[in-house]
Amino acid sequence: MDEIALVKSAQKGDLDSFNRLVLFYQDAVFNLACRILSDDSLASDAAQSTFISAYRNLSQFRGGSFKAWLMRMVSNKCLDELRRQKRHPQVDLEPMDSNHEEALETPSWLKDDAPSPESVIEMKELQIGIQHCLDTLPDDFKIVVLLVDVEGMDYGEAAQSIQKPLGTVKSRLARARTKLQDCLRGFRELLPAGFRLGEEEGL
Amino acid sequence: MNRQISPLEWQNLSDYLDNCLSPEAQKKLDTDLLTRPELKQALQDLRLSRTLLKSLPRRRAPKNFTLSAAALPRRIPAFPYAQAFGLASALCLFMLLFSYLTQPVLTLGLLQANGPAPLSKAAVPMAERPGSAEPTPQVFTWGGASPADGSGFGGGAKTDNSAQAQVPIPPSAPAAALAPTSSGPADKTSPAPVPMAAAAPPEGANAPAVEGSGPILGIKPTAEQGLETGHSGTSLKQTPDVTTPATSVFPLVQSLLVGLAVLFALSALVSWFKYYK
Repeated sequence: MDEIALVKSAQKGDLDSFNRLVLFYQDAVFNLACRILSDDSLASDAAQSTFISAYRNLSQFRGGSFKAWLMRMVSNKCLDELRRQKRHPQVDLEPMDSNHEEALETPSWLKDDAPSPESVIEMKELQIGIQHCLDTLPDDFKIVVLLVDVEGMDYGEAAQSIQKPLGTVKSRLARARTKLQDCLRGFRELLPAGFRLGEEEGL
Repeated sequence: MNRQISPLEWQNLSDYLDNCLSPEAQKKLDTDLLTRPELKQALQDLRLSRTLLKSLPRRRAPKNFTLSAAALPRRIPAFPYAQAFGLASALCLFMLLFSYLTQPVLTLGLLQANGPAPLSKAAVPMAERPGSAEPTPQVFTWGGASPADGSGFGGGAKTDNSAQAQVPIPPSAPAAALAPTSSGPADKTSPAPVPMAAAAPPEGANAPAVEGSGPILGIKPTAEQGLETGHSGTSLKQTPDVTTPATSVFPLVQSLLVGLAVLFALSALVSWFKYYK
């Protein structure tokens, strides 16, 4: 795929060229939105909104990595959504369980968000644990570690995506990895034997 | 364990994982890794956590996010002369502010430039004002010096009825003396008091002597009235000269402002119709 040619064609108003770019990057955009927002529905909305904004503002793209440009847009959309959630938190007054009945006897919506030992045991899937650790990171750190470690971007692309200097990317990435490492120790039992953090010396 | 490693070392370890360290820093870190087991353990933990993140399954988009022309929100086309109208609006605002801010300054400057004229006008004696054409009150002193027979100035048979009209100093005389420009004509209309000895009437004169330019019973001579009228006319003619520059500058600015304001209103109307239709 000739990305530059497609971008130039899309800048001239060719919607088909832009849709080819969408098909190529939509998984990455949705994946990043999912990891930031931890909600598929919100991530889908953010991804759709990102592509609409990208098409509208395509004339502002001055070259460089188109993926980094898209990732910056989706990151900003997700951060806006997170800020909106913090400003207007939504709590169901009458929560419904999976059978769409009121779950008043076991009000899960009242429990503490911090994982209890029991809930840690219940989190059998490693992905949930990792996602939980990602959610404990500050938003700025989370975006950097997702761009570099999950999306596989290099430092330059990540710096372009978050519009920060390279040194900021390095420091945020190091601190995010350190925090993640500390958090993942709590899910030691969920990790495969080869992933047991800090136990290799003892073994 | 983490307390033994400084933040800078954590960052070096993170860069080391991504092969972003400089050769010198990498060589130094390799040496440290051999001598410091906690550093080696931290590097191992970082590598494992990064591997865990990379092992996360990639989420696939639940649908295609491709755009269709019909689904795209309709964009309002920009008004072709929007920039010109915007410039006119900005210019209008600037001129408005300029006129309001500089009008008092300009007026003050004009007044200061023509400063002596208003001052001299203010110092014109009341006798020379157009509205004060009526004669100033006159004080008459009948008789000259003290009579030789010791009688008073009252009427009487023995009294010589020769009279001396002494023209008093009008009340505005000191102001006229202070005014530099009104010294010429004012001197003629406000005669100086005549000394009593010099104004002594000749012997045997029964009728009051009228000497000099002194008025008789408050009625000034026609020639002096003419002089006074001429002076008043001169002061009236000076009045429009002061305000002429101010009236010639501001109508131009105000007409320009009105034009720009009309343009601004037109642009607002066009934008409103463009947006709501």
